[in-house]
Amino acid sequence: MWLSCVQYVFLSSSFCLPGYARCLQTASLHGVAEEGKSGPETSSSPDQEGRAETLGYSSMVHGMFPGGGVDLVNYFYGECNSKLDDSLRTAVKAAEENQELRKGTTAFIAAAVEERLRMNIEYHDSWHRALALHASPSNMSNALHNIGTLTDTIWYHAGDRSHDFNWYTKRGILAAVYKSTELCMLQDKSEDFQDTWTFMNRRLSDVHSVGKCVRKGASFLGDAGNLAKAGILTALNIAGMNSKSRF
Amino acid sequence: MYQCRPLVIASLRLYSTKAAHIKQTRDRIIRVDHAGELGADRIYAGQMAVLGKTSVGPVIQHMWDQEKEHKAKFEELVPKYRVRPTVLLPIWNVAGFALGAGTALLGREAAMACTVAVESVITDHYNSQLRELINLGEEENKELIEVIKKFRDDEMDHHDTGLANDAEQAPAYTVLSNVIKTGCKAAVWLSERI
Repeated sequence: MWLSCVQYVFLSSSFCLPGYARCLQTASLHGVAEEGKSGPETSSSPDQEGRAETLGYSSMVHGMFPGGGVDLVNYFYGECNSKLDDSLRTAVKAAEENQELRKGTTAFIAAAVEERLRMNIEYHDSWHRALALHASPSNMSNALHNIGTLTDTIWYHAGDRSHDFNWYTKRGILAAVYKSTELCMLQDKSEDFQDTWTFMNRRLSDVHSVGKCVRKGASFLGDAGNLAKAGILTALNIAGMNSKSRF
Repeated sequence: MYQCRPLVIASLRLYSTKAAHIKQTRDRIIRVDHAGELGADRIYAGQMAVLGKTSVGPVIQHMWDQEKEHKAKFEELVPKYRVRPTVLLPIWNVAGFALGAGTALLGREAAMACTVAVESVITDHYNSQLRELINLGEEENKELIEVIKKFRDDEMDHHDTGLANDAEQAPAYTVLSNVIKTGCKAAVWLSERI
């Protein structure tokens, strides 16, 4: 008991989330998966207290998670994001060594989104509760941070090196695709979520064709601009008002 | 406990606050410097558009070329450190050009006064960043410190060039200089945050 108190004080003062707290979070997650009905929002104080005791820790440790259920969701989200980061890094390295493994950007993104969504399958039955927690205004900043990290991870490994406003459009579009696919997955009853993956591929091909259209539009505007410039210059030259004018 | 929550969450991948703190500071520094160099590039573009064919043209062109180099360097660092660029980039793009062209229209002395005001704010800003980075750990931030040191010297050089080209003879020099300096500081404050 005394040791737990010391650990608790140490933990809360050093602001870190070490193996000890992660153990507890993982245990709570298993509880969510097993029971299904006790979703993340009920796994706040009393539940975590009980789990802490079954693990042999002081029941006080639940105080480390003042946010209750949403902390658990954030923990799970963050863990999955870093798992995806590691796996994409290995995939990119493998593709560098072996040219045959190299994929196009859209295919790479589709595979990454699918891999990430598959991590949620374990908690599929209670995932709608996690989404509800993230939709609450007080948790909005965490939810945005999570989806931001996720989309940045995918785009970074897909080879995106943009440093202008494109950075935001790319991540925004991917976030929209990810979120809509996640919602589609909630109600998907098909074998191995086949409907979800076809839905995702349709969304990604929409994005692809929109992107193409925008690029074409931009190049047309550029051409039109050049044409207008040439016209004005010709008119100025005819009128004798160019920079080499003798006047 | 409540105060530490956002930090814990913001750094779920990093776990310890020291690493998270270093990452956050680095992100902030690269984000604001990238925005600043983009703005500087646009200011010189604006000045060149007006004064390009006058006697100070080559002087401005030389400074502009250096700013282009700086901008390219930060454009390389932004993806390298996986920093989010500031949302305000499109605004600085237009505001920088307007500032450059606007002061250049007031005459070549006013353009130089603008350069002096901007570069003096930037030099101070780079110096305080250098102090912060050295405090965080000189070894870990070696690349960034070297880049900022070199750029700081270039900006100081531009400041002196401006003074040598009669910046102080600009109309309403003190007012102009103070307005531009305040504007720059506000832009820095905003770019660090959003």
